[in-house]
Order: sequence, then C-alpha cells, then structure tokens
Amino acid sequence: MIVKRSSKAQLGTIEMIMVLVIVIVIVVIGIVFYYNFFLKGIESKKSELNLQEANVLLASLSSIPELQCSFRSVTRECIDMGKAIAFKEVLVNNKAYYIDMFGSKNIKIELLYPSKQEGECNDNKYNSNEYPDNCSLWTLYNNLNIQEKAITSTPVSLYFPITKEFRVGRLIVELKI
Amino acid sequence: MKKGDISPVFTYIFVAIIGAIIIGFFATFGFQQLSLGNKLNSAEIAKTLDDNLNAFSISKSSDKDIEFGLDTKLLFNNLVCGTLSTEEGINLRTSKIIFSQKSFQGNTMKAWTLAFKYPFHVTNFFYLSDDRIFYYIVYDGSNQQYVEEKFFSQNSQYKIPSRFNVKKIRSNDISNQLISSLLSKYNSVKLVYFTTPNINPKDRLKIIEIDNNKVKFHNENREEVLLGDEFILGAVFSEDYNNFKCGFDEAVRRLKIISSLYIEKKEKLIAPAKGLACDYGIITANLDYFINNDPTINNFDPYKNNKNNLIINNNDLEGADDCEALF
Repeated sequence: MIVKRSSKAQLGTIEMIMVLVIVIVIVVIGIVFYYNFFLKGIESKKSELNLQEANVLLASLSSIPELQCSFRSVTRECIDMGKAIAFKEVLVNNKAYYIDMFGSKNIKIELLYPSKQEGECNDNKYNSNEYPDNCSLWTLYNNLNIQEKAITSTPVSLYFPITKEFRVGRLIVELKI
Repeated sequence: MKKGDISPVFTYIFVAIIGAIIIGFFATFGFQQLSLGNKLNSAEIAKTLDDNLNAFSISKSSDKDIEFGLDTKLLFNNLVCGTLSTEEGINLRTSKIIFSQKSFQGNTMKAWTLAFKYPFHVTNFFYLSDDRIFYYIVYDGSNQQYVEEKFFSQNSQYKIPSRFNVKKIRSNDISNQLISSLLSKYNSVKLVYFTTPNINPKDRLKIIEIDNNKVKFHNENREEVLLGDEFILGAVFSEDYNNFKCGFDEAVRRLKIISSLYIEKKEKLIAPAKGLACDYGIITANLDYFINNDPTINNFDPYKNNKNNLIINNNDLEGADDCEALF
C-alpha cells in the first residue's frame, strides 16, 4: 500500500500524542498510588500520636488536682473517689474546658479488688448503704461514641473517703484508633 | 518541503512546551510535598511538646531540657491565649499555664514546672526559656537576703534551676554599659527589680518591678496582683504583661473550677445516706469566695486571708469525729 507523505506526517503527530497520553496516564497512576501510600502514612502517624497522647494522659491523670488524693494539702499517689464522683458534676458545668483538655476519649475507673458486684456506678448506687460494693465502674468523661476504639489502662489505688479505705482499681482511657 | 511534512521547528517547539509543562508540574508537586512534610513535622513537634509537658506535670517540681533534634520555631499564646503555634500555621489548643517568651527558636528548650497550691493543688505552672534571653534579679541592701534565700538557695522550693540564664545583681551595679554588653550577646535582657528600677525599659530590655504582692511591667506600664511566689516566677519568665495575664487568668479560672469541685465533693459527703454529721458551712463559704471573686490589687488581703482560713477550717474538719476533710 502506498502511504502518502501527508499521512506519514499525520501518523507521526498522532504517534507523538499517543506516547504523551500514555506517559501522562502512567504518571497519574503513579501519583495516585503515591498519594494512597502517603495518606496511609499520615493515618498511621495520627494513630501513633493519638496513642502517645493517651498513654501520657493515662500516666498523668492520677496526678491531676481533679482526681488526686490530698490530705491536709499533701498529695498522695491515689485517686480520691469522692473527687472522682464530684468531677462528673463539675464536668457538666465546664464541658468546653475539659473537651479542650481531654479531647475525644472516654475515661473510666474500674474497681478491681475487693469488688463484689459489677455494673455502672450512679447516684442511686452511691446513695445505697452497700456502696462501693454494689458497683464497679465509674465513667468520668464520655466523649467518644464509636465501636472500634483502642483501650489503654493502668492500675491505680482508689481511696474512698466515707469509709476511709483503699482499694485497687484500674484507670481506663478509650480512644479512637 | 513536501505538503504534509511537519517542519522540525514546530516539533521542537511542541516538545519544549510539553517538557516545560511536565517539569513545571513535577517541580510544583515536589515543593508542595516539601511544604506538606514541613507542616506535618511541625504538627508532630507541637503535639509531642504538649505531651512532653503533660508527662512533666506529674512532678510537683522538676526541671529539664526538652530536645527537639532540629531547629524549631514555636509561638506561645501568640494571638490567642492558651495556644501553641508553629511557623507553618499549626495551632494547638493547650490547657497548660505557660509563662514564657512569645517566640521560641532553637534545638533545646529549658523547662521548669512548679505546683500552684492555693492552698490545695490547683494546677502546675510551666516556665519555659531558651538561650537567647538573659535575666537579672536586681536587689538592694534591704532585700538581698530575701532574694538569695528565695530564688538562689538550695533549700528553697523556688530556687531557679541553674540551666536558666538567671543571675542576681545589686542595683548599684546596673549600668548602661552592662546592659549594652548583654544586649550584644542576647536577643533580649530582662531585669526583675525587687527595688525601684534605676534604668528605663527599651524594646529589647524588659523591666518588671515586684513590690508588695504586685508586679509592674514597666514596658507596658501595667500592674497585676501576685498571689504567690509561683506568680513572681511567672512574671520573671513572661515576655510581657499580656503573656503573664494569660497565665494569671487561666490560673484563677482553674482555682474556681477546683473550688467548685470541692463544693461538689462536700455535697456528696453530706448526702443523707452517707451518715456524715459534719458542718461544712464555713469551708463552703471560703470556697464560694474564690468562685465568686477575682483577685485584684485592692482585694489581695481578704483573698489571702480566705486562703489561710481555708487551711485552718479544713484542718479542723480532719480532727473532728464523723468528719472528713475536703483536701
């Protein structure tokens, strides 16, 4: 077949354009893959920082004035459960302040030993004569309502001012993964 | 040239344009990635510093150097009180009470934390500094012993750690030549007078005067009450009146919150089912005073007396039968 010179030139142009298009498509695919990995890296860094924040919070929570035991202004290494219960009321009046402080997390205290009954502690359970034997879980701060969450915890000493006794508990921080 | 043949010149022009577009695209892409990487780094540094200070606050009194590993620029309480910002525009809200210069730059930050008690533990204060600023505590004959015992004695809980560039000096030894010499070595110099200042403030020379439970910032000509030695140190390390006031207001806000916490604790303790027959009336009035009143220069004495009465009334509860002290 005889190919005219003018068609040859057109073929040449079309060839060049096709090469360019294919190169651009390959580059775009490469960029899409790169950004996918990049975003996954950012998500992973975000999770790492969140976990770091939660671990630091866990270590420092039992030392904050809202929870830490003090006897004649001298602090001791335990959680004052009288303050912990009162903290829930103070939280309601200063919600914005504590959201700034704690962020999107749940903070709970669980009674481990001696513990007789399980269940959430509320005002009714508190006003009962059996308290604190009638419940085992106090939710201090609740600002995370998702199913998939990471949980980190540490053992703590709990002081009950009414009965003046110490018990063993666990401070729990739940956070978004 | 035959009809239909493309001139090579047009081919070269076409290739040059496409090549320029592709190079421009990749160059822009590269710079954007660099900028994004810098932003991510600075966000990580700000977050890690906040966590570092959080962990640091477990101690009631401690000091250390915080290493960043690279040259870092941070802004504290820059435009908004209670924020930690980076040069790349990352702003982090923090509930920490920080007394420092507005801008920090360097690899290492000097940090010191002290518990603020009034009389119960309210919060921790953070004093931050770097090597670019120099401080002189200025005294005269009448208060030399006070200054030395309070800020430079090993037995004092308010002893300024040696890692900070803080020295003491007699007011007679302050001269313009000394100041000029210091300003040639440091970005700024701060003079903390426990006597009447004998030199005028300038842009890079900050002067504050501590007198009878109040502090005067001479650069801004503003005064504020001092509730304790922790606040004196706050005035020392703050860059200016606004930075100090930011920490002061936040501390007063914390005092009100913790006071209301103790009132709620009292309500729980005296719940009928608990059987505690205790009179918390007086101590409740003391706590209510903190909640309903802000400290000022004019009401400093009743404010301080209220704190002292709180201690006495709380201790009295400790000794009584069927009573539980609040703190």
